[in-house]
Amino acid sequence: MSPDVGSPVGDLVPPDRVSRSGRSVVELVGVSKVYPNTRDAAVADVTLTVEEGEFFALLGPSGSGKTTTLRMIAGFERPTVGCVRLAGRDVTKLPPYKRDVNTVFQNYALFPHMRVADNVAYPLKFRSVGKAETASRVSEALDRVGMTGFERRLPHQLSGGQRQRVALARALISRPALVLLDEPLGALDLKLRQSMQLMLKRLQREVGITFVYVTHDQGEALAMSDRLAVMHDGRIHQTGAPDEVYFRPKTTFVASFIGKTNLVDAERDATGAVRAGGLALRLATTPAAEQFKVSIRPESILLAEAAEGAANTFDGIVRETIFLGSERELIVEVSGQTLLAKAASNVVLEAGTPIRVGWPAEACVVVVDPAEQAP
Amino acid sequence: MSAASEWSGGAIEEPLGERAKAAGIRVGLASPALLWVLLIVLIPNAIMLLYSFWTNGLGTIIQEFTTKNYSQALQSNVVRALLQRTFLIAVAASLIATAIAYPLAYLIVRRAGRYKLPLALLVVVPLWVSYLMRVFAWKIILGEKGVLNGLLQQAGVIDHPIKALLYSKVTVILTLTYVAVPYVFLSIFTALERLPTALYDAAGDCGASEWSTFRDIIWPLSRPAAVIGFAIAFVITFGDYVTPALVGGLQGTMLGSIILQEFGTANNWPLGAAIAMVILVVSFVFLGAVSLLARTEAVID
Ligand SMILES: Nc1ncnc2c1ncn2[C@@H]1O[C@H](COP(=O)(O)OP(=O)(O)O)[C@@H](O)[C@H]1O
Ligand SMILES: [Mg+2]
Repeated sequence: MSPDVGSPVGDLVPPDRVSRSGRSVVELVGVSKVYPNTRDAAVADVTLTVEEGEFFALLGPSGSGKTTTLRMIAGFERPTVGCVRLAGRDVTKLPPYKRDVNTVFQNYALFPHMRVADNVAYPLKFRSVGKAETASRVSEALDRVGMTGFERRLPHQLSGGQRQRVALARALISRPALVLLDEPLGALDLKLRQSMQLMLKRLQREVGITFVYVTHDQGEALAMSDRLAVMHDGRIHQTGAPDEVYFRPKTTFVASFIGKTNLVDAERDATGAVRAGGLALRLATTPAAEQFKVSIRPESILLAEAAEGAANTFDGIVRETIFLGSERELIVEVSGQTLLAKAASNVVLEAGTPIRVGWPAEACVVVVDPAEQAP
Repeated sequence: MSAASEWSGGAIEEPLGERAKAAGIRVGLASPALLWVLLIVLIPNAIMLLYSFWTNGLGTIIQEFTTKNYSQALQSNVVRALLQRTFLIAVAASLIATAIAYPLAYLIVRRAGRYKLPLALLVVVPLWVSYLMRVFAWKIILGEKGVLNGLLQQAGVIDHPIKALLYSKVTVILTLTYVAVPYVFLSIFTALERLPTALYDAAGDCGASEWSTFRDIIWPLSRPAAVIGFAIAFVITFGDYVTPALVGGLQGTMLGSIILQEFGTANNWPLGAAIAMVILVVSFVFLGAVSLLARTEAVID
C-alpha cells in the first residue's frame, strides 16, 4: 500500500511502535479451554504474543472468552490444550502464586479485614522484603496511584474508584513483569472512567510494566492500547495496532464491532471486476474470494466537490441527517444501497437533496466471515 | 460523588448516620419478632428469677423473699462439682465440634464442586431427626448389648461386652459433640460460602500458597462464624439434661439433671430455679468473654 499520509488510511504502524525490545512477556500457543460440563469451548485455539512494555488490550463482547484467557495467563485456569509461556518459560502447569504476574480483578478483590497499607504490602510478604523497604515501597505505590493519606482506611471505607486504585497499587508493588487487568473500570461511571483511563495509561508508561487489559469497550481499547486482539466466541479474529484494526478489519465481526461502518455484500467476477448490487467498486487489490463483504468507514466517504476524482464516485440522495453535536451523520442512498457518511455539524442538507459521494480505493476493505470461510 | 473529589483524595463521609438509620429501620421491622422473644424467652426467665428468691416449704412455695436458695446452691459440694464438670464437658464438646465442623465446611466449600450442597445437606440432615432419637441412637451403638460390642465380640476382639462404652464422661462428650456438629457446621459453612472466590484468587495472585491464603485471609474472615458456632454449641450442651440422662450414667451426670431433679422428684422449685440462674449467669459471662473473639472490622460486600 502506498504511504499516503494525508488519508485516514495512512501509515498503519508508526515506526516507534514496532521497535519495542522484541522480547515476549506472554505467549499463548494454540490455547483452548473447555469448562467441565460445557459443550462449547470458552476459548478456542488462541495464539498470541505480548511484547515487553506493551499495553495490550483484549477486546470483545461479553462472553467472548476474555476473562478465561486472562485467567489462564494468571494461572487460575488450566488450558484444556495448548501452552502458556511467560518470559519464554513454559508455565502451563504452574499455580498462580509461582508466576511473576499480578492481577487487578474486576471487583477489586481487596482483603476486607486489612487496611489499605496492609492490602498493598501483602505481596511483599512472600518476597522476603525487609520492614523498612516494605514501608517505603507501600508509600511509593500509593503515591503513584494518588492514594497517599488513605493508609489506615479499610476497603469498605473507600469509593469504587479509590478501591480500584488500591488494587492497582497492590498489583504493582512487587514489580511484576506483567500486570493483568480485567475490566478494571467496568463498575465506574463515565467521567471517572475517562480520568482513570488517562491515569492508567500514564502509570503504565512510567513504570514500564507490560499490561494486558481486558475490556468490552472498543473506545477504551482503541484509546489506551499499543496493540489489541479482538475476540469473539472464544476466538481471536484479529491482532494489531488500534489504527490497523480499525482501518483494516479482517472479519465482518471486527469491522462492525469496532466503530461504525458500512458493510456491503459484494462479488468478484472472472475479469476481476467487483460489484456490490448496482455499484461497480474499485478496490486497491483484487480479492481472492468470490463472495465477500466490503467495509467502508463513514468518515472515509467524501461528499460533494471533495468526492470528485476519488476512485469510487457515485450520485446519491440524502435520505436523513442526524445531528450529533460535534458532527452530523448522513444517510445517503446510492443505487439501492444505503450508506452512512459524516459531515461537519454546520453543513445543512435537506432530506432528498442529490449529492456526489466518493471514496478512495483503499477505503474499501474486504472482510470475510470466518464461519462461512471454515472448510 | 464528583470526579474532582475522587481525584483530590479528600476524606470521604463516614456513613455512620446512614447506618444508625438503617439499624433503626431494622429494629422496627423486627418488632413482631421482638415481641415473640419477650414472650417466650424473657417472661419465663423472669418468673424463674422470682422463684429463685422464694422460700421452699416442703414441696410448696412460700412467697417470702430469701437468698437461702443461692447460698445452699453455691455451698453445696455436689452443685459446685457438677457445675465444674458440666462446664468442662460443654466446653470440650463445643471445641471438638468446632474443630470437626470447620475443616469439614472448608473442604466442602472449596473442594466439593457440584457436590457441595448435597454434602452440606448430609451434614445437617440429623437436625431433622428428633433430638431424643439422635441421642438414643448412641445408646444403641454403645450399649452393653449394642452394635459396637456386638461387632467386637463377633470379630473375636473381646469375650465379654465392655460396659464402659456407655455411662461415662467420654460418652457424654462424644454424644454432645455429635449433637453440636451440625449447628457449628451451618454457621461456618454459610460464612465461607459468602466469601467471594476472588479473595482466594487474589491471595494466590499476591503469592500466597493455599495455607498462607487460609491463615492470612480466610481464617480471619471466618473466625467470627466459628466463634458463633462454638457459642451455639456451648449453649446447647451446657444446659442439656437429656443426653446425660440417657448415656451419662452416674459418671456423666450434669447440672441440668440436678435441676430436673429439683423440679421433679425433690420438689424444691426455688432451689432448682436458683441453680438454673447460676447456669444462666455463668453462660452469660462465658459467652460475653467468647464474643470478644468474634469481633471484626471487616465488611464483606
Ligand atoms: N467457570 C465457568 N464454568 C463454565 N463456563 C464458564 C465459566 N466461566 C466462563 N464460562 C463461559 O465461558 C464463556 C467465556 O466466558 P468469559 O471468559 O468470562 O468471557 P468474557 O470475559 O469475555 O465475558 C462464556 O460462555 C461463559 O459462560
Ligand atoms: Mg469477563
